Amino acid sequence: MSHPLATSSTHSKQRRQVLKSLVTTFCATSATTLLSPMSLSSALAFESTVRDKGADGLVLSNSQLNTLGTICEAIIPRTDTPGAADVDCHGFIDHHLYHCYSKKQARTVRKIINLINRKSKRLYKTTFEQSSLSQQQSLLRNLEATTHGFTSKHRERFKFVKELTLFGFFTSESGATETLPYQAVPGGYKGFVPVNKGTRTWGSLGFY
Amino acid sequence: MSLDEFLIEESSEVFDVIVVGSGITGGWAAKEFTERGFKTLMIERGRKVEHRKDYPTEGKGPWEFDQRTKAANLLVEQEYPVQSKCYAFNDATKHFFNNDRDYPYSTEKGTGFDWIRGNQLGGKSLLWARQSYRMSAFDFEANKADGHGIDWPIRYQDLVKYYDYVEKHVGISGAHDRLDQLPDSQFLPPFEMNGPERWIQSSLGEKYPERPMIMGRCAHLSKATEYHLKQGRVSCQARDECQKGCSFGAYFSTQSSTLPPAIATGNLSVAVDSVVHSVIYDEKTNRATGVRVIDANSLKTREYFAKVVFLCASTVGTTQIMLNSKSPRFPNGIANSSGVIGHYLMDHNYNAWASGKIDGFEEEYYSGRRPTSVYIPNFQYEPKRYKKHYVRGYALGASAQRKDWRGGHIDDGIGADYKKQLTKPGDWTFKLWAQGEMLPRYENSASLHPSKVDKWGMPQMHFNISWSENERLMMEDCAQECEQMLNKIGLSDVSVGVTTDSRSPGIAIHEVGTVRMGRDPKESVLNGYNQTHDIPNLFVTDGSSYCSSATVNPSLTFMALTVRAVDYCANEMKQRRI
Repeated sequence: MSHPLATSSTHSKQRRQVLKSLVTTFCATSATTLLSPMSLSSALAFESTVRDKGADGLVLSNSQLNTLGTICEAIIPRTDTPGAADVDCHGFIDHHLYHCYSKKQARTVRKIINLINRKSKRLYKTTFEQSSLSQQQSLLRNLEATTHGFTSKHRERFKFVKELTLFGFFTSESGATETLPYQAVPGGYKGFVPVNKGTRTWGSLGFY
Repeated sequence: MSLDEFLIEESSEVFDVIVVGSGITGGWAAKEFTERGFKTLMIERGRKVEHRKDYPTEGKGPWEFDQRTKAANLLVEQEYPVQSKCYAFNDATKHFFNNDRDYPYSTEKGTGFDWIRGNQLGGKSLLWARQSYRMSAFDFEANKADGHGIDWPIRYQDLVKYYDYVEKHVGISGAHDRLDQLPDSQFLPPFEMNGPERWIQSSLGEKYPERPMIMGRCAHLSKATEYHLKQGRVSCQARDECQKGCSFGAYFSTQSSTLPPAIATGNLSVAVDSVVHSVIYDEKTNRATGVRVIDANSLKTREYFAKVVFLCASTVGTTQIMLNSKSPRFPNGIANSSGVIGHYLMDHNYNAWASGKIDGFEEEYYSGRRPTSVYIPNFQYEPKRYKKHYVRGYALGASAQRKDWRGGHIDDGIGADYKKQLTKPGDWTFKLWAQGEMLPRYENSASLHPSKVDKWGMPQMHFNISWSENERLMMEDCAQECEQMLNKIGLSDVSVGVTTDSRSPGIAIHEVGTVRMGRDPKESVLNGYNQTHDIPNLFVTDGSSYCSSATVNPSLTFMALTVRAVDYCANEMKQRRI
């Protein structure tokens, strides 16, 4: 049985309404609410707006945070959809490092941020943040390619930052629902759908 | 009718039946007894969980969780060091796992056992992987055929009618595969395979005709029938977030499927937050007369009484209660004249995997999140098919998926093109994972710790279990076979792994065997109807009753065993033999 609403790719804000209408359609006699009041509150969730822009983070200094924001945005820039800095990916990474990773791992992130800044000053006579987008991207490409004095150890540390950036971006509301299509309620499984030019991977996974 | 109307605390009523546990078997026992008109009390050690109302994380996107559904270190270290090892544990599901701080246990030095528990109304039925397969005629004969363990006192034919019955109610999605080694169920339509899976199915079929690959069978309403709609359940929406709870009732749980009809009879009472301490035994009549309970919150003791007691408290839970029910007649635990309670603990062995890259199929994708995978049933299902250097066999779970942004950091790239590339479906990969049989061995045991108790005063469990040489050899062989299979069908970048040394028993969450059935009361606890040999009105129908683990997921079989036991017990009660 497929409900017309169930097959559409649904943005989170419409989601509860969709779920509710599905349940009232199919389980009218027994379902009163699908979602408890608790789920309507995301009080515990990481709120990017709460962070004071001028303050230090949990594991990164304010200046490291700003550099990281620039790194994240260079990796995943704003295009026709928001970029990593728009979703405060760097703020999330600071928060995530503190809660889900070791102190040693946080230290490697600080090290690579500092290195990127030092390298920028040497190459471009300015901080990474202040350098141009093409300079930023060129520096990071050299880092990944282990050229211009970057070592495989540096690359490994940067790959970790990149992993955190991808995670922070694609699990953000915008990353999951705007850059990717989000199916809150797919309505069923189809083993085949054709791939065309616009096909993107699904942004909707329940658990990470 | 709401659940609240049926919740009780103190009661001097003598019920017809007490069912200890509210998970898969407890739910079934309660449904079957209440529908037959018996006044039934279901006792659950954990809190009340109401269908729909108590699924607080359902429908939430990852960004609504503090760590995007990952569990924070502090939480894992302090509250869930064991539970967090379970694949289904995360920040969105943690409330359905027990808090390890409150539930300590110990393991023998040099061994390990990961005891995964869901102590709440509904138990692990809210968390299970929902894979549902019948045990075959070969499975029930395996112990007899090769001499490991005791013979099951029942055969496949004894269970057929009960499998049929529970499957119609539960709703099992699957295809009619007509395999001797894996009998068909009463099916709802199967989930679809994707393109590469269909291709692998036919390639493997050519090269390994004895190893058919089928669609996984699961307890999901792939297409709800009128019968299921009347239960208040609708078709699966392919969210694959089942462990958050499902308000569609699309997968089988106590909440979605067995509790509603039990409540509707008016014959059910439910006591939650009630930790069963022991079964009360009357030596004069040789009957169980009820259970002693410790209130989970106040720690006060109370007693409930009934004519019959069904233990459905999970394999180790039931074992703990029985061993703790001591009397002059049964100094080592109730109905334990054989002394085997706690021994022959088994789990499934999930310690080999293989994966490879599938070339082509760039033009194909899938939609929705399928809550099941494909499956290669055990192909070493009788002695003549065994490998020379070990006995029994393994099934394989499998699935083909396209890569998404996860792991995308491995690819080099910076900027807008890289961002775009991350949104494109990547390579197809195919993965196989082992589900091996574990042999019943006396030395693998769960016992009461001689001195340590938990906060309710219950003796803590102590485990002594390890993989034997047979399990090790099987996993090594399985990895080699899988590697060969994937290479033969032309996958590239094939890699394999064996994890026997790093993963302890328990983590497959298929623990069975500690209160086993058998014909001989000297070496078994239960007869062929899950009735204790020693005490006519005491039954055990959860996984602890198994004589062998087979390779299939155990839940469907203990549903059938439970209904069969109720059927038998109800008749015995009518005939006044109980």
